[in-house]
Amino acid sequence: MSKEEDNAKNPEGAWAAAGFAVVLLVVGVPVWWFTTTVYRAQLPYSTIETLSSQLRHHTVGVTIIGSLPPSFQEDLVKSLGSMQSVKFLMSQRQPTKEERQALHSGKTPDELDRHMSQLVRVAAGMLAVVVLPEAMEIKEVVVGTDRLIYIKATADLQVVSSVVRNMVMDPLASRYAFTNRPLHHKKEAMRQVPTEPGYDVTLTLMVPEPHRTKIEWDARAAVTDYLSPVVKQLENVSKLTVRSQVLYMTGLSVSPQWSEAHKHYALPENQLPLTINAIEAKLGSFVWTRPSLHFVVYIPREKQLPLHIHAADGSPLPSNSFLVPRWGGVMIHNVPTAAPNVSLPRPVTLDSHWIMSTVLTHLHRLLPIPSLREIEGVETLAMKDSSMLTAWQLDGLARARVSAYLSNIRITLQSLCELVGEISNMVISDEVGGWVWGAVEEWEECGRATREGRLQDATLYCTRSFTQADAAFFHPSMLALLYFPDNQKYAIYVPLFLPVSIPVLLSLKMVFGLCRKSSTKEKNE
Amino acid sequence: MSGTSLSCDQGVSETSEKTHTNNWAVLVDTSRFWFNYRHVANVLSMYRSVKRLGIPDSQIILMVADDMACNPRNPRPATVFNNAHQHINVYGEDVEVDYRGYEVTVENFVRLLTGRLAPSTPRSKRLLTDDGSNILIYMTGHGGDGFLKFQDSEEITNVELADAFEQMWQKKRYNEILFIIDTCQAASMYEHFYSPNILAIASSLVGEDSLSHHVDPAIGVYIIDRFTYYALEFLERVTPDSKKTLAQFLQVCPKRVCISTVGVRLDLYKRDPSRVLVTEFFGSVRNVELTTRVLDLPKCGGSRQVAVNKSVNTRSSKATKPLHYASQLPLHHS
Repeated sequence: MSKEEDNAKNPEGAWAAAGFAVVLLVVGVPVWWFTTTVYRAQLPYSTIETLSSQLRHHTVGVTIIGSLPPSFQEDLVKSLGSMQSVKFLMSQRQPTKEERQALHSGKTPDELDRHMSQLVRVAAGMLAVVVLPEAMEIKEVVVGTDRLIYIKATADLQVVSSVVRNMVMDPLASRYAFTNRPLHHKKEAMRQVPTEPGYDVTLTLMVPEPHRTKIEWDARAAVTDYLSPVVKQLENVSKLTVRSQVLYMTGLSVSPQWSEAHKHYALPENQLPLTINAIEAKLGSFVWTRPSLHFVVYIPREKQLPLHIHAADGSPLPSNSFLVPRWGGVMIHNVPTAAPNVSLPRPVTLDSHWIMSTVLTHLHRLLPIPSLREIEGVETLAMKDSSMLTAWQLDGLARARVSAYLSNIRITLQSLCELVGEISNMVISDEVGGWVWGAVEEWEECGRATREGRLQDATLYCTRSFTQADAAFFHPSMLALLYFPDNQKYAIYVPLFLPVSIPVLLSLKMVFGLCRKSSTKEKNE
Repeated sequence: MSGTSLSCDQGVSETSEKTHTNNWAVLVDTSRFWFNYRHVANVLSMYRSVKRLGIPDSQIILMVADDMACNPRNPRPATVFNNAHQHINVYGEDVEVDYRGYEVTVENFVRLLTGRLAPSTPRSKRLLTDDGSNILIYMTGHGGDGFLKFQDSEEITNVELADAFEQMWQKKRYNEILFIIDTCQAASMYEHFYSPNILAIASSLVGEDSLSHHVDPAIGVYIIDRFTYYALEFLERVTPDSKKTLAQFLQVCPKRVCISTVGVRLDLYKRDPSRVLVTEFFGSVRNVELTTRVLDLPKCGGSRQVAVNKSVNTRSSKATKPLHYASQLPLHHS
């Protein structure tokens, strides 16, 4: 009990211990807290949660102009209603006087379509179905160039339903919108390029023997005539930057066989998969970071002329070109063989129309632009005098991209929130916070625009949201490696604070003992 | 219907299961100093195999932590051999090392995998994969139970590696990964993987050391490791259109030659390795689709033909505009 006697005689010891404890708690802990908290900008976690769980669908308004049998209309509504990610708002009206005049005026389908497109102004993202009079000499279902479908009252319901579904959105894209993972078993899903705001399109002309053939091709004119209108049309949906180059002295390493039956060199299909590996390094795809699409025009070597691709069954392919999913396309352009005794290099002109048709075919399949080629019994009208896309194709592409963006944005933001939640001392800078807030706002707007059917707004919002979400996710400071996980925090702080706090805590015990003693003494007195 | 035929070789049905659209390879050597010559030879030999089988340089990320070819102790300067007979110079004249010397750090490696690089990083140092990419990741160096040593001064743990793969999976940056690691106690590195579609092969189990194969008396150091030596023997017989499967690759180094036991992790990989071709990871076989129908476009630019001819003539008469190279450094597209 000598210690207690000592303490009773030296209350200063107790006060000193109490003072230490007070300083430790009142000054030390806050200072440590403020100097070690990391700056974390506030992120809208709850909004991201709510927006992630919202189901999204496109709304498409379909107006039926003319009268259809009521059962037809009901069945059409029912079969369209089964499409998962698109909700159709059907409405019906009778044709106006001018429209009726135009319908009965006996024009050809193209002229009728042009006239009707001007009379019936269909807003972007909507469709209209025009019922044709029975007497017209026209196929059962005709798809116009500007969001109009012409049907006869006797048309097949299934055909009409599948036409409308395919026009509105690529069926794969609508399934993809509901799953996180791409649909691996579908080759078509792996063919289209991943959805990004911009792509680099490179046209490459490969001339392996420039000393024998002098190629005269005005690529600039070809691109301006055929490709630029499409690029301009697609500006809001996806930005394409077109470049072209010529590669000399580079050839495809293929070994074709001379085919006596066809009198040309046959390139079997199974040699194609490995052809582009050798030239990939020379195409300059290492220069830019946007995803690139390559379209290669290959002029065969003199001793392999003429060169034709043969399908698996041995028949030559008329288009002489093939598509590499997500990469681009290659076409072989044969030139006439050199006459003997002609001075080398001989000038050769290329067929721009054929080249650009092939390039656009491949581009349509890569983007992908919706097409109705696979549906029987439908006639699709194309734009005259131009390679531009029809309005419904543009709408369909925009819808597919908006769906892809929405699911991408959801995954990115959810993953970001998870990462940030896991590492509680990860710095979230204002820059990243700003991007995330911006992305969430635009995401909300995009969702609203999609539900209301405002397709152009939705595309704009989605593109911006996607860019911001990706910028936030891939920000260099978001690296988990740079921050200590929570369990390592204890390993750092325990050896730091424990040796200091143990004596203080033990002396506190003495302080309390003293306090109790003095209070009992007071009580006793 | 548009052409949808596959790149079928005679009677191979495996190609219909192929789910990837491009191939990438990340080859990492993490050790420095002259006596770790064999690790550089390992990774450069894999680089040569992968390049020979078709993956272009733009899709190979090669990280070599030290320079053996120009090391002052190298009696054969500018060469790296993987065999005492010195048949092949795996360094060659066209090797493209993306991360060299002290750039090979844990941080750079994880940044590369997760894509969180500084905006000024050139394209050749980025892993621009997408959800259709099959990635071959090969790592070699010195390792221990649960870590891999980088540059003799830092280490990457198996948890960090697993988290990096998970970040890749969440952002859909790979379709399938073949992860090969040739270090001591290599199997510990794949213990913590939890993302799907990863097949991991390790040259030794926890508690075992991976051994090197032979010494080259002319150079004076061990030239190659056992697992990589036998793996390369196997790969040398693989051609770009070969039918060898991954199941055969997994048997490449039995215990009697490798001395250490090869560890394999198959639970995260849902395909059957005996139906997966080796070239699906080591080579670059693309699915091609023949185009059966070309769009029927109207002939455009008819009215401009005259103008074009005129401009062509005038252009040839005056001096042609000087040509210039495209800008080699990518501008930061914000």
